Amino acid sequence: MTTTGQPPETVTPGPALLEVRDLKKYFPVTKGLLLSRTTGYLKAVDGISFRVERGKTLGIVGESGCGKSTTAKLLLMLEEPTEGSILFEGEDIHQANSAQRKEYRSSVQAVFQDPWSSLNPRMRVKDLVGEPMVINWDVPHRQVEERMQKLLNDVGLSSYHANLYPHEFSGGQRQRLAIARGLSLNPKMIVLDEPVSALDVSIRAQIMNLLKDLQQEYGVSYLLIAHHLATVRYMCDWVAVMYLGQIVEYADVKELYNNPLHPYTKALMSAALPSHPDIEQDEIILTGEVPSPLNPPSGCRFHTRCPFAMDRCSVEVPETREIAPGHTTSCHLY
Amino acid sequence: MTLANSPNEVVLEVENLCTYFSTRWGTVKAVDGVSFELRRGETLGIVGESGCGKSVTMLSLMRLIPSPPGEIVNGRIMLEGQDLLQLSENEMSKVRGSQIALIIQDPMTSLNPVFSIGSQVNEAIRIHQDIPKRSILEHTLEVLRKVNIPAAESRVKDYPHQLSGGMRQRVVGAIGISCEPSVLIADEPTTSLDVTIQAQYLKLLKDLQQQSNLALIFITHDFGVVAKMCDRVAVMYAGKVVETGGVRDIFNNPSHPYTEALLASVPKLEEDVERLYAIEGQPPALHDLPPGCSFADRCPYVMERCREEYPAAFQVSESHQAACWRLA
Ligand SMILES: Nc1ncnc2c1ncn2[C@@H]1O[C@H](COP(=O)(O)OP(=O)(O)O)[C@@H](O)[C@H]1O
Ligand SMILES: Nc1ncnc2c1ncn2[C@@H]1O[C@H](COP(=O)(O)OP(=O)(O)O)[C@@H](O)[C@H]1O
Ligand code: SF4
Ligand SMILES: [Mg+2]
Ligand SMILES: [Mg+2]
Repeated sequence: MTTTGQPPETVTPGPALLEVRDLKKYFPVTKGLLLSRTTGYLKAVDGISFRVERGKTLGIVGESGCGKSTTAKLLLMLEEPTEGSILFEGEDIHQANSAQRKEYRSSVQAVFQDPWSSLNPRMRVKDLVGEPMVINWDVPHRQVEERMQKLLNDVGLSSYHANLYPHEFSGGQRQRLAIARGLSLNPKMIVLDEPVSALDVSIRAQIMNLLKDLQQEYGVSYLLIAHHLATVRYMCDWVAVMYLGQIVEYADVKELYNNPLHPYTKALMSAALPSHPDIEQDEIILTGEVPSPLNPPSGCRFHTRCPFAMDRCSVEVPETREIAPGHTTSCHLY
Repeated sequence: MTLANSPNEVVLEVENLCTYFSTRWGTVKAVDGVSFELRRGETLGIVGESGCGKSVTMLSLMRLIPSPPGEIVNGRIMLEGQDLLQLSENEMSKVRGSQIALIIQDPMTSLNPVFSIGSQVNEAIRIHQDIPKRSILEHTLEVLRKVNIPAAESRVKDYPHQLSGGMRQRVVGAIGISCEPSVLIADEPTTSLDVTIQAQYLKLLKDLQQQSNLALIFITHDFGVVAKMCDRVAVMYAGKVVETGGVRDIFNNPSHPYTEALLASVPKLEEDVERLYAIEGQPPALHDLPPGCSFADRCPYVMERCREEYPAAFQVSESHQAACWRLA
């Protein structure tokens, strides 16, 4: 047994679309003239493993700073991992040749929280959506044009929008645009980093339903990063709960919400807001905030905030155990 | 005032508040005939999508509407027996902070980076009360302790960037309560907070409320905050209150189609939802409101009458009203 989450092989045999094994990203912390001296490492992602199935959605939840976006960047090859591997359709992407890497890059797309920052304000909608196809595919202009129209249509925009610039759109429309662009290369997977948290409630529902419909239609997989637990319940098939760079609990969505095991997961659930005033919630209010990943606590990283911590928790790193089929957690209580 | 400390006394009564902005597109009726009341120790939630007039309502209560372009064109705001709209600017500045306070729950934008947290917490005290320096410090420490800032003595000289996000949030709360207002308005953060920090903050506000029988107004678009915190709710749409009621009235028997739709559009923590209801279209432009019900274009129940005449507020039960022709 290692200290990291193992993918629950029992549930879906065969190669997953994407599998991450013991992935790490340490950022060097530098000091001195020209920042030349490395004085330590910030362990943003510290040994995580999970899998994303075809046509399914994996959610990653956890407080700010726990390594969610770094995980996304590793998957998008915007960061090089310090250690560990990312297997896509069974192939290690860092061992792959450049053609395969290029293929991977177009198979895995992204949609971020802030549609402002991810859309070039000087480009018209038709170019924003068409550009990835022009760069990656050797197809005639007319075909790009046709596909662009179809994508706009798919995300609920009309051909009238094709000649507009992003600033002429509302927040919800810009997110539709980002999704159309994300879909343009027919990706197998889309990394969604907080895709609805900047949007108004009614627009959130529109975008979540749109994402679900597109998944039905195209069989695309999602990796959804979100901190709103009700959103994750609605959108995801599997959920990984992260704390200080590690996955502390991993299960299918029903199992996780009906039977949360790790004290951190329980605390997150009790902090989330209820959907009705008569719902009684446990009061596990976490004191303090997430410790620094520069100097994470010994033993179980959560022990400094855990209401159930025992003596051994500050000393021994808990193993990851499978408590129910496909449901793993790392905690000395189990 | 003989009723001054009776626990259920109405502290704030807003009647037919209208705040308009003149813009190059025409008159924006940001708040148009809003009425509600608030009792001591009570929490009122004001809910609605962005742009529906929540913040303008609260800024009007504080008399902080930038003018021009804005103007409170009508209404009464009775706070502990006096009409705020009749006060001079000088009189109002004495009320602001000491009787009614507004906190923007966004610790990034609501603290000034160049002043120590101590001086920001006691700014209101210095304005409102003529007290010696030493007791200002004592008062500041007391307020910081009330919001659970550990080691307040050493923290008081810190600057906002030296504090963690959760601690900054508490300081914002401390500023709000520093002069023991009767009414505290909390406007929602623009950035979403971590659930854990939000939970700590909500609990803090509840504790403060219990200690001093504070009347709280929560401005939010999140029905979760309403379910957790509020006794009563006012749902706003396009500058108007379309439904008000006790929190259970609203959740168990939403009677305006907009409230019903909003509730059906949020996913639930505790149960699976097959498909969220997505309200079509967008709210109307406030400078060009349609005659009749502002929700008509998006309403699944729309009738002919809805497009002709603005619906009156109908009584659903003693504690519950909604402005919709279906109730006629
Ligand atoms: N490029 C970087 N250099 C140094 N530290 C980083 C970098 N990117 C992220 N971090 C740190 O890594 C940790 C995890 O960050 P992030 O993945 O953004 O968390 P999340 O998305 O869960 O909020 C944080 O402590 C953050 O400050
Ligand atoms: N200074 C201003 N000038 C013109 N219009 C304004 C101004 N401030 C607010 N408004 C308008 O008033 C309406 C209500 O805004 P606001 O109260 O901030 O909404 P909410 O807080 O519900 O999101 C919006 O349509 C907005 O455009
Ligand atoms: S008045 Fe008519 S349009 Fe307005 S909410 Fe009621 S049914 Fe819908
Ligand atoms: Mg992030
Ligand atoms: Mg607002």
